[in-house]
Amino acid sequence: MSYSKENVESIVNNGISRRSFLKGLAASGVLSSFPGGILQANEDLNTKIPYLGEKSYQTFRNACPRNCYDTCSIKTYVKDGVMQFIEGATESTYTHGGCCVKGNTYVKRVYSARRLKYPMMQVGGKGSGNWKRISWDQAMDIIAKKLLEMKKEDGTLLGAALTKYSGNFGITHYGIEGMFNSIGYTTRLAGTPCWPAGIDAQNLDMGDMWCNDPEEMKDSKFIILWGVNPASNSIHSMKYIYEAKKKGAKVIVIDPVFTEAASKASQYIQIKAGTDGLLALGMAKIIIDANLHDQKWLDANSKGYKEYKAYLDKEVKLDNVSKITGIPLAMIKELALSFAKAKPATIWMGYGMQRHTNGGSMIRAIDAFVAVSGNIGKYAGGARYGHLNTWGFNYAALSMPKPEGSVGYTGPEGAKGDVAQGKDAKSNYTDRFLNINKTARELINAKEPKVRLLWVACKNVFAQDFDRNQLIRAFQQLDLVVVADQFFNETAKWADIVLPVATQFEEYDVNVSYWHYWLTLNEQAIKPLFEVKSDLEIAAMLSKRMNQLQAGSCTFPQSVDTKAMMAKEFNPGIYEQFGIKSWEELKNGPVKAKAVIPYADGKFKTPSGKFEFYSDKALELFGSALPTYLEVRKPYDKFRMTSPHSRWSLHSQFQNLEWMEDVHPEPYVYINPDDAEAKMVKEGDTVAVFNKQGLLRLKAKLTDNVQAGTVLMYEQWYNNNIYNVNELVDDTSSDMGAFKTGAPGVALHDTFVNFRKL
Amino acid sequence: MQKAFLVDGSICLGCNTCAMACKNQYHQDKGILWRKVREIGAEEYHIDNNNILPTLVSYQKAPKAEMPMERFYFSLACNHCENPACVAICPVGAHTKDAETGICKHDQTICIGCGGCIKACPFGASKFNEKMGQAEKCSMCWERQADGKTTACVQSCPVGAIAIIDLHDPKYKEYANASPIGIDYAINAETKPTTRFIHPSMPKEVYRLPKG
Amino acid sequence: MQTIQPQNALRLDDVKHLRDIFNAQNSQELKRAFDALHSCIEISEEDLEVQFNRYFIGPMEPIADPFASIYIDDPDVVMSKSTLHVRELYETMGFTNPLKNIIPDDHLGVELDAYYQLLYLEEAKGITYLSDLRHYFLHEHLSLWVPRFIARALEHSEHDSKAMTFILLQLKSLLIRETTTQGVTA
Repeated sequence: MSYSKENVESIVNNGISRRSFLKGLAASGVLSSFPGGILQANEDLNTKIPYLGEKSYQTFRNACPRNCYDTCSIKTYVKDGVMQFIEGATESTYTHGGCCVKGNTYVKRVYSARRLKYPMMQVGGKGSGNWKRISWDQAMDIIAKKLLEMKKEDGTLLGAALTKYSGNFGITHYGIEGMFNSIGYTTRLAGTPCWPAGIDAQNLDMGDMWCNDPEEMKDSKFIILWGVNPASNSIHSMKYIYEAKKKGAKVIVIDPVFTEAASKASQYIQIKAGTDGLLALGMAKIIIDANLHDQKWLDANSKGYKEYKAYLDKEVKLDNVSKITGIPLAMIKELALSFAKAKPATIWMGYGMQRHTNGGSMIRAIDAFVAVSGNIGKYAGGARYGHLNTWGFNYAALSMPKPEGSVGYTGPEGAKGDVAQGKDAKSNYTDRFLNINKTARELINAKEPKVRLLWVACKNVFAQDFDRNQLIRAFQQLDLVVVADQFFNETAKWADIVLPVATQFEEYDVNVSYWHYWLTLNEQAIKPLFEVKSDLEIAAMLSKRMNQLQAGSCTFPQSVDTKAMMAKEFNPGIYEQFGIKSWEELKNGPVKAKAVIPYADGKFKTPSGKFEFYSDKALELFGSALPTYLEVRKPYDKFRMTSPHSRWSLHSQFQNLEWMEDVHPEPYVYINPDDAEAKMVKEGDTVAVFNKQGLLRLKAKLTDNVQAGTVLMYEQWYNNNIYNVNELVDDTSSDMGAFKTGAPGVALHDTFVNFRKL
Repeated sequence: MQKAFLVDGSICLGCNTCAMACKNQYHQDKGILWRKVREIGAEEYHIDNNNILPTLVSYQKAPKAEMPMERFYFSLACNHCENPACVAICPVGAHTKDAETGICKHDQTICIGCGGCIKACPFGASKFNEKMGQAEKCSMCWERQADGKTTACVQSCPVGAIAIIDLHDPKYKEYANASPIGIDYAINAETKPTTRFIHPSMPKEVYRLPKG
Repeated sequence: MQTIQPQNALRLDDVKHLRDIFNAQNSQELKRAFDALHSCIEISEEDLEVQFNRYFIGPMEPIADPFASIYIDDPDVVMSKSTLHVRELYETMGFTNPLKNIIPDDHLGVELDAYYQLLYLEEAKGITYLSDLRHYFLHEHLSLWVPRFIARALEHSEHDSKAMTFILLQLKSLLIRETTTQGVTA
């Protein structure tokens, strides 16, 4: 029996014929279900999806919840329940209609064939590669039973540990911490590898970390981009910098590397890594000696200026500053004096800059310089680092009470983390905190009780933490490792259970940024694919099972609606700050906070209420009250390895996508041509980069973007490539971080290596 | 009117948002990019990749620009030539030049995959899709423009390094260079590419640490 | 109501069991459907599932994703053009899909289900004008991608699973029978 292809196609393609075809079927009583509506004719024989006109799509509001300054507001275009493409929201002057190379892969990411689809259990041991599907009920049953068994045996749930960080910074995702709060006192991998030294420094100096609105930079007359590369890592900020430059402002990049930002500046100044603090001290001395400092402001608003000035007079010698930083004295003078004379002037300090053993001291020194120049508390001025000023939500998802009778840790420390919560007022117990920057060691060594269960969410441990071999050992000796993620990665490889998690397009949330001042609603744009669930739904299911087994064992709600959880986060403070009456207004687009200039009123949350050049807390915690010069770590191998963040990925996210491979296929080590020549390495040669920690093999590119004595490799993770710069990093701490975030940071750029041709 | 891309290399970050915005819009197959961000000074800079054939030799010149590695870029897609070679050679009229806007459109429903445009385009704008056996290229998002929007790449660029201009507007005719830095781009004058470039330059003051 | 002829019943069962294998939600369902194929392969329920997951599900990259669009459109995404084309076919066939936008419409299990239901209606209820659509689906869609799916799954000898090989060969011969003899030898 033959069929006519054309006949059938004309039926399928032509709405009218199809209608009568279907009528025929209905008339014969065959069909129990009948498709609703008249199907559209399929005129589309394009190989690519065509743009069909704004009206053909349903649009939704989303946010990019990644760990990124720019936290874009997104407009998502959906047709028949399938995401077609995204745009940046045009209502946000910051996002300005476009995302970035990573955000533009979201459609690919959501529908990636490699997304985790079902809860699965690794039978035959961690790393065996033998996986079985389990239902959500089964998964929750296993985990709940394990938790209750541990509670019974240890008398506490301190044996349950959570490691969660920046995979998703949506406010309701603190519900993951909330889930752990809701089961009792538990162990947390706390601290942050990212920016803690600078957070401490800013808090010591000014009582807060509170940067000016980045959009103001368009009106700055002098901008120093100090150890930050917004051309790669905050591309939406560049338009303000360009606007300022167009209007005659000077843009100076101070960086050990000639970065993408440096190539767009008015002036680039290369500096010896880790000496930036001394440069700032020298610059302060210069403008004070030239009487260009703001004495009036200093008298009214600072504490310890006298001691600070005495230190500069006595201990900071300009010739020495020039020698140690490598910058000619005339250039330093010119820089300092120009900065002082331009009003307003501002400095943007990067997180990369403080990833040294003396990082905190360097931020303190630069803060002090900006203060001396009279640019603190000024529009388009400021010592910019970051802020948490728009993060004043309820944290309802986070704030789950401990079940009655919970027993915890009775050590001295308080609560930790980027968004520190206060100690539980009603009890003498706290959670137990382990240093996230020493995860492997801490998991293995924890005692009384041992850590037996680890929950990993919004984090890729094997990508971001250090000492791979020890991490494997740490995971293997745990009874139960649960990994909640969107993709299978090396951390999942060593898990017992993987749980498939929703993307931001499959759940509600609300998002703000630690840099700009916009508020973005994240709507659910599509149905969750396969069996993926929101982290919040997972928490609710766990709670339900735990309470079935033992009533009252978990206080997390037993069923959640992500929309309702999102709505619960709003409060009068947020509404007031953003000038809205209801979160529903955000359906029309993101909204900006009312303009406030940090410290314009001269009020600081320091003990003295003033800007503290002299800080008692700094003396107590870090051994120096003043922002004195601290030498950076001495090299332990031939070359410094600097590992800045790549534009192609956010840590281990995005580079795994095939679209990204189209524009950026593989990693390289960037070597100064003189260094390469000395080792007979040519462009494109495969080299081994190695030190006491480990060894990497990759191709070399030769460029004087990198100074002699330094090699550069971007922090990134690839499909089917074991490249990982963290193999070479030891977990040496930065000076500060323990004050506000629970643990010091990691001196990532004080890693030293050697290399040879292979 | 002759709509044209104005590409500003002096502010382009090389971030590739534009290249990916195009992919996000049209979901091209693996390995096919209608818009590519090219690194000035790199060896591949002057070679346009149409996926199957080497571009006509008149366009290939050694890069004359000495610029630091991975710091300066031009974003290139189709040049929407005034005298398009693709339109001239297409046997079935899949390539057309819009009389009103000057946009060079490619209609995939008509394309028979003869490969003529692939060979004829001096810039490699027409890409060959092996799987479909057809050509495909940037059509300046004409459907988006007809709907009152701008092209996906222009919309997405964080710094406005790509813009759409009207070359027939006298203010733009001599405004910017017809060639990207370091290549005799417009050498194939018959096709008259409409893309215009603003050349980048190094910062006025660059200090690098002395050797040793 | 016509009764189904014995050889046609076998033909229907073949499709059904393969459908049930690819739609199995747990190891019991999978084993039951596999046993119904009478392979004479001895394998535990757990081993069967572990192998099935390694070949088709994950969580690591499976040997062969069981979605049409992987083989027709972009090899790295689901829910692309051909998925939506299949969606339209289902609607033309008169089906509603409760898993629409949850599971891709072109998942092998769903497609085998559509094929099974059309075949059943023809055989059991004698509705012949659906057969045009069924043949179109078979020749213009299933035949485009399922052979490539089978070939990819079979070419990885380091993951040689007798059970999975058996399933794939069953699927292969079903497809050949359907496209050549149309399952009927008369």
